[in-house]
Amino acid sequence: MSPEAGLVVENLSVSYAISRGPFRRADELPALRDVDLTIAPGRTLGVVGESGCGKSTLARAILRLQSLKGGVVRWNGEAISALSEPAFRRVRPQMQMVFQDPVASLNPRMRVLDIIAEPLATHRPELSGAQRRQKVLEAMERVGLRPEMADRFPHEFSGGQAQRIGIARAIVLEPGLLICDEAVSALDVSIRAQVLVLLEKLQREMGLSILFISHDLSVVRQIAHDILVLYLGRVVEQAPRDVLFATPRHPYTQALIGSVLSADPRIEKAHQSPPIGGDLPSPIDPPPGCPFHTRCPLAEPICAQAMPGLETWPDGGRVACHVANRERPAAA
Amino acid sequence: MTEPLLGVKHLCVRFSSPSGPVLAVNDVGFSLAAGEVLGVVGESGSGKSQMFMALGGLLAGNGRATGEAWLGGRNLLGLTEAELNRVRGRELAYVFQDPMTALNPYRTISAQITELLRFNRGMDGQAARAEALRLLERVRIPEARRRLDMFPHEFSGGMRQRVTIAMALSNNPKLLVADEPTTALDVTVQIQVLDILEELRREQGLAVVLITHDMGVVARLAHKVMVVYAGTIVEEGSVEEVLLAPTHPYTTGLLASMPDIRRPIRAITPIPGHPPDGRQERVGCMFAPRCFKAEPVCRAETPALAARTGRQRQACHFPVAEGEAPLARAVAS
Ligand SMILES: Nc1ncnc2c1ncn2[C@@H]1O[C@H](COP(=O)(O)OP(=O)(O)OP(=O)(O)O)[C@@H](O)[C@H]1O
Ligand code: SF4
Ligand SMILES: [Mg+2]
Repeated sequence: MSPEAGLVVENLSVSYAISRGPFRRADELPALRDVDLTIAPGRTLGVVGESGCGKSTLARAILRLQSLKGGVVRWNGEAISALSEPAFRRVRPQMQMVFQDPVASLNPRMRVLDIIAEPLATHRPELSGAQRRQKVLEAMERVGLRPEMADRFPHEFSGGQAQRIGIARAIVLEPGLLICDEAVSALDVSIRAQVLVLLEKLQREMGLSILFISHDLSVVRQIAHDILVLYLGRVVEQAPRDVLFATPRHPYTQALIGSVLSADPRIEKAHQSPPIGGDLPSPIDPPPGCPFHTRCPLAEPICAQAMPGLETWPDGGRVACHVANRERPAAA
Repeated sequence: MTEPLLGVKHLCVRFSSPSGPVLAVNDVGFSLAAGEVLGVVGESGSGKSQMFMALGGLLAGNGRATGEAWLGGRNLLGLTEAELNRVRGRELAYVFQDPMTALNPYRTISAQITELLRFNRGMDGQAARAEALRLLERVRIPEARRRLDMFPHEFSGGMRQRVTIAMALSNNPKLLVADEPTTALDVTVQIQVLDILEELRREQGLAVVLITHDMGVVARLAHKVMVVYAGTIVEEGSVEEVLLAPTHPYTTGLLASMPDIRRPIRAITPIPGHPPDGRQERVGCMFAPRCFKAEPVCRAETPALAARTGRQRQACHFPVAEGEAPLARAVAS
């Protein structure tokens, strides 16, 4: 496979303008700063971080629903962030999104068949009605919806079935990239497991690259091959799944993982909450230096002055922390 | 054993709705002692919230509760509205998922807490302000003195939830019903809020009902667990019994559906199908359509909640034995 296959994001920055009244210059909220990531075909990248860290902005920026302040998004080697609007429309069908609230994301007045067929009508107008129906039924079968459900309306479905409809609509154009933004967060435990198993099956069958955004680290550990940790719009750590969970290096990653609860009461009896102070600072005025230094148990004077670089470790992990990176073995 | 603080018997909650009556809670019973935490788990719509809304008289207008709920020598379900108001101030307090349901966005934190103190405890002026400060410090709001005069929007979500806990505590209740108190919070904040609840329990003997979807929250805080499905208790026992050696196929299925970050990665096994709504006819075991152990008798006879295995109670004709696979692979969809 060529090294460029899949999704590559380089130095992505996004800012929102925050208005503070008619006579004042708009403030800039740096939602993402210098984010790099790669997702090869058949791989899942999990993106984790607390609310407001820029997870959804990342999804929107990749799909060009949000303009970039800087950086490049490449899909299969092509810099899609630089394409003209008509040229981008040609690539857009290859990238699809699954949303958090399955029921709200479906038009209540459309039948399931038409909901799933909508992307075909937009992007494959040459298909006949019969061909379109055929593709919809194939997609429904893939996600485990029975064909007779095609003529029903969304309100007749449970949350889990509605999410299957959303996924069927996302895969009907046979995309290469699926972006799941908190796609299982609103689902009940037993239904969430069904959807996770379904996503893994679709990935195997279709070779999908998946960007899986979630605040739930247990779920991300279950489904992602690689994990990216965002804090106030910056990548603070990124590593293959097993490296990240076995040896989290950034103190923020350590605090996140250390805060997740187990269903084993014996483990929870002994589980000390991690020593992380205070709350997330305002993203409008991110702290100077390392964005995490205001809450960090390891912070040193340098942390408040200089932004630590994102250094690569020999096992493929990347870490942005002055203190942690001192332990980094010299590259072999 | 000490006399239970709360004793609930034969509690049913019914709603009338245009598409027919809904039985949201069907004949549940349980008890809770001072200083004890009861975890209530189950999926959306299983009746967890309505069960405890009923105790405080907080059901929607179309809802009706029957049965008994004894708290401090009185049956809450037999009280008048005025009597219930007093109980809600003094003995029974609630904390909900969204702290803004309890906070007024236009008034400062100190104004809101001192008003409660005046109403419930007749405190005024400096005394009320000092008590408000003590309560905020009690829930570990940093720089509480400075924050007293702030508005709710100046607080983060976690901080607001701590304020609502402080308000719930303002009258030294004996029982706190916390309905998904940390569901909307980030993980690093969730654990801090749970630790505050644990501290209150330990130091003040507060009894806590902790309603949640999250087995981890239960594992951390609860002594007893009740698993709710379709408005009934399907399994009940100590947290160790229910989470480490579950006996009801639904409980085993829930646990097999959840990845656990502290355990080796294994395939998750979903429960097939989806839960019923409250309109289905109630014959036999409500879990039977999704159950890997179901036999014809399950669809005909409703299993009673009883201790068939010698330990915890379960409402199942064929409890899962220790070591038995949590779900037959064949039924996994
Ligand atoms: N006002 C109402 N009218 C009709 N039905 C209602 C009303 N309020 C609740 N219900 C029904 O009662 C049942 C139990 O609801 P309840 O809110 O207790 O569930 P829950 O277990 O707390 O769910 P969640 O996890 O989503 O909070 C559901 O079937 C719900 O639809
Ligand atoms: S009673 Fe039967 S159907 Fe119900 S949970 Fe037990 S085995 Fe399954
Ligand atoms: Mg509820």
